[in-house]
Amino acid sequence: MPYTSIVPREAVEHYGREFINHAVGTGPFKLAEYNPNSKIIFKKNPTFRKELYPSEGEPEDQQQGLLVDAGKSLPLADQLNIEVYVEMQPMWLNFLSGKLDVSSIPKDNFSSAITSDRKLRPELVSQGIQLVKAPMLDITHASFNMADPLLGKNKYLRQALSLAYDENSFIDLFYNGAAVPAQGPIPPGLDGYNSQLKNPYRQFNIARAKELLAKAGYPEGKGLPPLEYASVASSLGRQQTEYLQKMFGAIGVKLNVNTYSWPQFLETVKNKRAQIWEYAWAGDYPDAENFLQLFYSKNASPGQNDSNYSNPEFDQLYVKSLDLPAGAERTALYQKMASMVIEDAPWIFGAHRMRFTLFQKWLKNYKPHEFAHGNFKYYRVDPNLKQ
Amino acid sequence: MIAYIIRRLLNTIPIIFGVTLIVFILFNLVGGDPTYQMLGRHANAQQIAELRHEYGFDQPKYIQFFSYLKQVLTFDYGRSYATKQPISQMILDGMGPSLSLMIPSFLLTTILSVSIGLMVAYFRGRWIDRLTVIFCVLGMSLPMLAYILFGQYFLAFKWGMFPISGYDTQWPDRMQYLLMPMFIFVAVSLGYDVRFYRTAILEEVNQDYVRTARAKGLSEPRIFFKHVLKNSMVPILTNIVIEIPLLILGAFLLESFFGIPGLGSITIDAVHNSDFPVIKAMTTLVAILYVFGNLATDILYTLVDPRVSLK
Repeated sequence: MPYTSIVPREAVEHYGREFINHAVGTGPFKLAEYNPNSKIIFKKNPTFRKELYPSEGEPEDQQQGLLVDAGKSLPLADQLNIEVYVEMQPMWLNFLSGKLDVSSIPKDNFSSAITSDRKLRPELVSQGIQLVKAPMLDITHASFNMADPLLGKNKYLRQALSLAYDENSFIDLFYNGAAVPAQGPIPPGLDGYNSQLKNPYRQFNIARAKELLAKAGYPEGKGLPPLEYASVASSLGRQQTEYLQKMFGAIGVKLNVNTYSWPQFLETVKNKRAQIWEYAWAGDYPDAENFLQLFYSKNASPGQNDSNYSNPEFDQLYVKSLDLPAGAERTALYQKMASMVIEDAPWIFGAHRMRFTLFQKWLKNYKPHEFAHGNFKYYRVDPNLKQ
Repeated sequence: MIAYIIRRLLNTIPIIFGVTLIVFILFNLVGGDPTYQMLGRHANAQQIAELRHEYGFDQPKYIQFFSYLKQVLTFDYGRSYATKQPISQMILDGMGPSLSLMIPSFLLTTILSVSIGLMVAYFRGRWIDRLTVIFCVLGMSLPMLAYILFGQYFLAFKWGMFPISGYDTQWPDRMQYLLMPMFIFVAVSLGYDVRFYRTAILEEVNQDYVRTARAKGLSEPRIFFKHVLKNSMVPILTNIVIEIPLLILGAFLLESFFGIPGLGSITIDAVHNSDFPVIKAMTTLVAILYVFGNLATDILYTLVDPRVSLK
């Protein structure tokens, strides 16, 4: 967890508030150049403790050549250059021309790199470029403000809106298909995730949405005032908002859009002034608790539970789960809590996104992990392959 | 002259005060509470209250305004929300890269555009004049982004004539990274500048004193370079001098696309990150530089036009 890095006390005391601008530590690299707008250069730390490349790994590591350097002193690379890009085109062209060893795929270049069945295009394969796909352990969602007198008190209305939300087309349009629709709050890979779960309010179904809207007291949306949607001012935000307006419009629900700068948006949400908004949560650590705490009533706004969901039964289970070790009992509690928020629908569950990363054939030992932040010491560039 | 400069400098005080007031209202009253942004979604009420106190956001607005005025006067704008670096240092660090790009670009553009402007004004109405005007309009019609995308894809990526992007802190290695953005700057600016200078020169060509000079039998080059050019210098200087202080701000798009860590790139980053202290500092800096640019232009008028006197 990057939130709990160990820092040298004497350095913190010496630099005070300036500590953040001084890299002091015992890691494998030393900071040689720091320009957060352009380039960050690390050089091998000659006084790094003796640490060897692991000789054991996961079953497929041997086959993938990840254990070739077993037993060698770390770090393997002498220097690490991190290029910072504001615009995606130069990053992408630099990667294609071999000047970058690793790169993500810009949204606008996705189809030129990845086929419709989510594989690397043959022309890139022929250059030796390799693709790594990994879940980001996150969830995107539309939040309903449960403290809002209209939305908070009408479960059928929230369920109807959830059913009108076509996540599959949303994923195709905005994530290039690189995501899986979320059925509940827990992402795949975590204890409590149920791959068989089908959220009854997340299967895009306009007819059923209209039924629930009528049950909510607003047949065909009649009598329902326009809902207020809070959006961040950006081109992507505008596109997503327009798409949402179209989806809700299909069942007769109008959406008024209020556009804010990022600080204004957060202030609006944290002060319970927004009605609906889109958000995402990326796991801080690999435990479902990190996602379920977003529904714990004591974390309500301005805390992390910004949809202000409050369910005493959920709270009770949440508190109980905190004391339990990993195991069947805790998993059952996680699933029970997930089913509660699925039924109460304080969110429209969006997607769990995938990270698509490309790396060059000469970069060795590249094995990304969402929570491993010290992998650079294993990387090695094969100079013969790079020529 | 000295009295005039002092008076103008005193006049800048209320102007800069007005600018700071507008900037303060825009960022502090309309821009939203930055503590929410700094803490993000993890924030809780206690953390928000603590941070508000730490940054002085819980102080009355007039005290916050005076703190901001103090920042302007002492050139200490606090820290960036995004990078946590002192903003004044970020500005000082960014000036070098921006000037590395902007000084040669500006000089080249000015020399070329004044020369071409003079040439086409001299040959006004002939094919060379018409062709130049057509190219100027074409050059102006294309946005800078089109030049950048074309240049990076074809000139750099496909044909390998320049690096795609990048920056080096050392000379002469830095030059290779600056060439393409420099040419793009010149290409984009040339159209407007040539037309402007051409018009300024042609206005003088139609003055009575030129007719008199011709009637006296002066040669055309002598009329042009000795009399017309000197009298055209007032609008030309206005256009040039007012831009000089703003050169340190760099070029937003060029720095951003070519990875040049100048003030333009810092500003674009700040906008992306809603890093209001940096945007606020840059806005104030632009306003102050503009005011001083204006003053410098007025002073230089006296050097090129004896009819102008500063009282």
